[in-house]
Amino acid sequence: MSWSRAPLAAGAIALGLGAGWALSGRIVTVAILAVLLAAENGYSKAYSP
Amino acid sequence: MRRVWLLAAYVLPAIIVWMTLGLLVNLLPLSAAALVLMAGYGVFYGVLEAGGMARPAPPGSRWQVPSGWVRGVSRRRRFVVWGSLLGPGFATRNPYAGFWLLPLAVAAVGNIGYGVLLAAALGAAHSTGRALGLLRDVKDVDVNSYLQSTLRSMYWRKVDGFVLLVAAGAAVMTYAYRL
Repeated sequence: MSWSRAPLAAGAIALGLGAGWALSGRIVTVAILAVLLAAENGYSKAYSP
Repeated sequence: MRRVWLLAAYVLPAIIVWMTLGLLVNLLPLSAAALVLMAGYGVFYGVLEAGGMARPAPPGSRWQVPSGWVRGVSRRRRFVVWGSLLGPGFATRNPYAGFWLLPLAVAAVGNIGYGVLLAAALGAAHSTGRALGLLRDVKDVDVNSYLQSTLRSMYWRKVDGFVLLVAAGAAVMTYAYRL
C-alpha cells in the first residue's frame, strides 16, 4: 500500500469502530454498511472492463 | 416502461435468491464466526483495494451469461435472463472484493427473521445498483472506451476498499460487544 493512503485506511477502520461503538455494538451497524456496500458493488460493476 | 421492466427483472429474482440465502445461513449458529471472517476478509481485501494492489484477485468465477441464452429472443425475455443472473450477483464475475462480504454480513445477523430481512435489503440494493449502472452505462458512457472503463474501475476498486475497511471496523466492534 502506498504510504499516503495508510492514514486514510486507518481512518476508515477507525470510522467503522466508532460507528460500532456509537451503536453499542448492535448488528444494525454492520447491516447498514452491508446495504451501502451492496448498492456500491452493484453499481460499480458496470465499470469493470 | 422499459426501465420499470428492467428494474423488476433485476430486483425480484435478487430478493428471492438473497432471502433464501438469508434463511439458510441463519439456520446455523454462524454469527460469531461470520463476524470474525468479516473483519479478516474486510481488512485484507480493504487494504489491497484501497492501496491499489491488484493481487491476489478477489474470489469469484469468470463465468458470463452465454450469448446463446440471449440471442434471438424477445427483449423482455432478455431482461429476465440477464436480470435473474446479474441481479443477485453470484453467478457472474465479481471484480470487486466487497461482494463476498455481503453473505458474511447476512450470516452475522444470527436471527432468521432479521437475517432474511437484511438479505432481502442486500438483494434489492445490489440489483437496483446493477440495473441503474446498466441504464447509466447505456446512456452516458462510451462503452468502446476500454481506457475510460479501466480508470473508473480503479476508482471504484478504491471506494470498495475503503467501504470494506469501515465494515471490518464495525464487525470488530460488534464482535467485541458480544464477548
